[in-house]
Amino acid sequence: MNMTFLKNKTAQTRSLFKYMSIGLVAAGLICSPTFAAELTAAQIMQKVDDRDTGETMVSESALILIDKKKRQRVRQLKLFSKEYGDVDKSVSFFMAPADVKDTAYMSFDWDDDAKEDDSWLYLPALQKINRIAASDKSGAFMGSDFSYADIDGVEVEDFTYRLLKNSEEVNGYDCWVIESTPKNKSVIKETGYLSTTSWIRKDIFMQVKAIINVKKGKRVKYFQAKDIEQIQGIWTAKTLQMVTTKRNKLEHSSVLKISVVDYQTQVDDKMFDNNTLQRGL
Amino acid sequence: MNRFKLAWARFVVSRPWPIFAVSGMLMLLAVMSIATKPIPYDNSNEMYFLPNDPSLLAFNRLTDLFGDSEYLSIGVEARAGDQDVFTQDTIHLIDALTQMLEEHEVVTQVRSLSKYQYTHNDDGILATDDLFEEPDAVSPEDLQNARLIMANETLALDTLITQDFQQVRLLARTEYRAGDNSHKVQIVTDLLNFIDAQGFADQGYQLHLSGVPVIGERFETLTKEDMAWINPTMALVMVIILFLTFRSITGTLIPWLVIGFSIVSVSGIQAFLGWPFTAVNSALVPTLIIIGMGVSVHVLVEFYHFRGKDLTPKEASYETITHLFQPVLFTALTTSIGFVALAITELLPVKQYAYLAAMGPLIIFLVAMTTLPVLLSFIPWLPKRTQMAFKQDLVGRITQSIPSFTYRLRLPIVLVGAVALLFSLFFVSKITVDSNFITYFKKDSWITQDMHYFDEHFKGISNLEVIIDSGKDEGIKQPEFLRRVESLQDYLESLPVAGDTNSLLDFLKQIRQAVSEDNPDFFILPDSAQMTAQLLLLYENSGPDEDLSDLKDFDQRHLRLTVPVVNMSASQMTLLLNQIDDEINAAFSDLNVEITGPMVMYNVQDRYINEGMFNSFSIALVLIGLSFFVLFRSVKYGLIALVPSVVPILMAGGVVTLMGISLDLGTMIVGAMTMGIAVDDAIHVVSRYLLARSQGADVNRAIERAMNESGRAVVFTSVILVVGFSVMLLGSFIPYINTGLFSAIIMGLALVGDLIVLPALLYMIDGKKDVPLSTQTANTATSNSMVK
Repeated sequence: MNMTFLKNKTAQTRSLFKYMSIGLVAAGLICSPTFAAELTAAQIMQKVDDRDTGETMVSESALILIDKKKRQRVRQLKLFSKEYGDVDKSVSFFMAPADVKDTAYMSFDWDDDAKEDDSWLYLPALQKINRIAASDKSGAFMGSDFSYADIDGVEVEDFTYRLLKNSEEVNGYDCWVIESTPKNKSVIKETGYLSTTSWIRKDIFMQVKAIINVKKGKRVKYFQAKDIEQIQGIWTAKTLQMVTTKRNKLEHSSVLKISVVDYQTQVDDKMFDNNTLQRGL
Repeated sequence: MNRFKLAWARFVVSRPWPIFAVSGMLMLLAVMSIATKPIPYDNSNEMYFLPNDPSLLAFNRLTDLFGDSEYLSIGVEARAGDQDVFTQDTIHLIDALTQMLEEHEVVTQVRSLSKYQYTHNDDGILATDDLFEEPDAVSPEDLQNARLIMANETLALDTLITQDFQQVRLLARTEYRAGDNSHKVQIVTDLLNFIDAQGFADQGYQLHLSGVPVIGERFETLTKEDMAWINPTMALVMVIILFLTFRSITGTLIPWLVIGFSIVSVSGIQAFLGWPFTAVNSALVPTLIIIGMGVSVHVLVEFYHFRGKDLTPKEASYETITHLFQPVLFTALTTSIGFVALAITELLPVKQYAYLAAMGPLIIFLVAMTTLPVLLSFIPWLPKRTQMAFKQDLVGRITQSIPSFTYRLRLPIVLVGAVALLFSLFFVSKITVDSNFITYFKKDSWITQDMHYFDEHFKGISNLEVIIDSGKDEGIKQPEFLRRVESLQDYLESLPVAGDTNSLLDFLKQIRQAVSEDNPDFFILPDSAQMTAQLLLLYENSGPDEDLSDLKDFDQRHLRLTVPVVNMSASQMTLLLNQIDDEINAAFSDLNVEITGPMVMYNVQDRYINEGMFNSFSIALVLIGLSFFVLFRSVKYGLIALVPSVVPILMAGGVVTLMGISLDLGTMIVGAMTMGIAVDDAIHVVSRYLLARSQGADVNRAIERAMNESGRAVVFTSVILVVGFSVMLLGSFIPYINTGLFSAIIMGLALVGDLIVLPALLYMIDGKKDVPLSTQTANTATSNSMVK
């Protein structure tokens, strides 16, 4: 279990959160429409995944949990992340509500598949760093509608892809519509996905919309990326929404709103050690 | 009245076609009304509550804050040869059931061993892990490991699995749909079919099913099954007796025309008003059968009586109307008044039943005094069999011997009657109004046995849902509040009828212990609000399936304690709730506590029905009594007629109490239904007696006439209805059986009252003077009869 959300990893995962940002270089390479039109569904998804979203990132965001009756609960987060050669490190600090202030969540996402990812939670009230298991990615992230698989991404090669539609407009942008299906049962078990239909914006290779069929309770989740803009040259979706439904009825939803994002500030390596975690921001 | 009656009779026999046309039109209207607006079913609890009832509000708050609160329980016993439930087959079975339930559209959440997750400290890593990684392929090591884990899982012991590992259960939270029972039928039917298709029984497994959805399903299925074959059988039995009585096809079929007409009309009105079918107004059809049968038999007996005296069909019809107009009107009015009195209740289903039932007798009166005699006036044939049957049948011999018999034994009869009345009054005063699910089903039925099973192993399937309001958002995190709730939980768990509570407190303790290297010393509540918040955050992040939204509300202001309690009757439940209330007021007045839940709702609902019915029923009896005085314009004859009408009901109440049965919805409605017929027969006998007296007969002659003319019809209707309703004793749903039993008792007693006690009373009271009463009751029941 790692915390690479808002931050892309190199080469191996695709993540909803990374779709909000896309490297300029990668976009430049593939933005010719003729080139794009010849891509297979799998190649498109690989392109979506293969993006550089900056070496480091510092962001502030609000995770809003909304229930069936539209009641809201807001958690303020500050996130730091940095790419290393073999690992992506990220740490996020809860800023609000007050009773979880200074609670910190850190995760190391190793490129080596054989190596289990690491994650820790620091609880100031117990003055204790707790390591947390990272096996099941289908669980809810911070009690939100985003699962860890949504946050951390999944292996591109674990799925087969099919181009459902070559062209469909979403919010005025031309998109591919691609269906992903897990290759085997263990992928379903780990990710919780039965199948996903994704809308990929052709111009920036960003997933802007998705309908995810989830195994647990046969729910259907609706994802949307909004407020997409270029920040410091990197395409960033500042609002991510996930709505969970069961039998066409709304259960709850979550919105992640990014207020501040910075891809240029250097993140000190010391951010990712236990002392920082305990000391807080 | 007299002139009106004669005019009516003349009009009816002379204008048959307009009457047929109007009847046909009304039928058509009723059918169209039913066809355009089919009558819906409503088996919901809500309809028994007023919109602002505190119990209903509390229950709605529970659903609002914590989601669905109805659970289906499946119990699985370890097989005879197995060490415990931890075997490959058993886990596989639990997994199969879990998956079936999880995929079912009515189920919102499943708790079971196969998807059980435990939060623990695994070499320094805090994890919420599956008890079985792959429940469909467990190894002996997995099973041994699971035993070790479960031995310490306080959250699961005695709720999901018994301490000895011999019993395990699955809990499926089912969707709460207000006003609907069909989803309960659906999930239970699907589950039963699944269990059957999987052949679990053949593998040696005994499964137990219970919970709110199961009870809802059983109610509906058993009632429908019973009604499907018993109602036609009952009708067949009545047809046979009718034929034996009249020895004529006409006589056998005609009552059904009257009954059918009334059922269609009342249903048409019901459809027009948009009132649903409910448990209460399912009594409408039997009610209409009873009243319709009574009235038509009286009409037929009267008609054949005059036909036997060589009158033409038209003359006989005319005479039938003139003789019966007044008593039939009286019976219709009294019965109707009785039902209207029932309607004073605030319980909507009872109100609706009462209004519809009140229309029944009036409609039947109209048919019996218009269409029915018109129809009869067109029937020229009079089978010899019928004539013979009327002259020298058993009933005739009985009714003929009644006067001398009752005269001879008048004193003992009246004394016995008085003793019976005193006896009844004594026991009626001790009547208890109560109900209990378990008594609704036969003792040997699986539903009853499974309820006992869950009582024995899991402290029942009834949950008390306790909502505690901390007073402010995020308030449940405060340690002081949590500790107070812990004391309350300890108190509730200390009640002998209660089992282990499911609450957030246990989760918090479990997480704290896991954070503290699984040290049992830290199975304690958090020290600060921050710690509570952080433990919850930690739990949310350790990857669990359960989001705790059923234990705390979204704003983290309310907590919910789910306390299982064993099955008990409504009155015991009331006592328990009062006891808990007292304790809360005394020791927990600082907490804002509300207790609700489906079982509490059922109990409140039952109590409302029972108390409501009991009160309305008493008022109905009083009103009927009063209307007797008005109708007979005599306190004396009103009182005399009241004896055979009311005493049987009181006596039946006494018998019921003596048998240790509490009055419930079923017995109450029976009371209302049979009240009609008991009262009607008394009116017929007393009216005929008064008619004879007004025409100059002495007491003896008047009683003879009352017995031979009205008594015959009284015997016929009673026999038909008693035997007919006895068929209901063969049912499988106890309230249904009780309906049959109590109707039979009441109608049987009413017969004795009308034929034995009533004449004896008349001999005692009127016999002394033995002079014609024409002067005293000049304005009552006189008839310008064409019969000499």
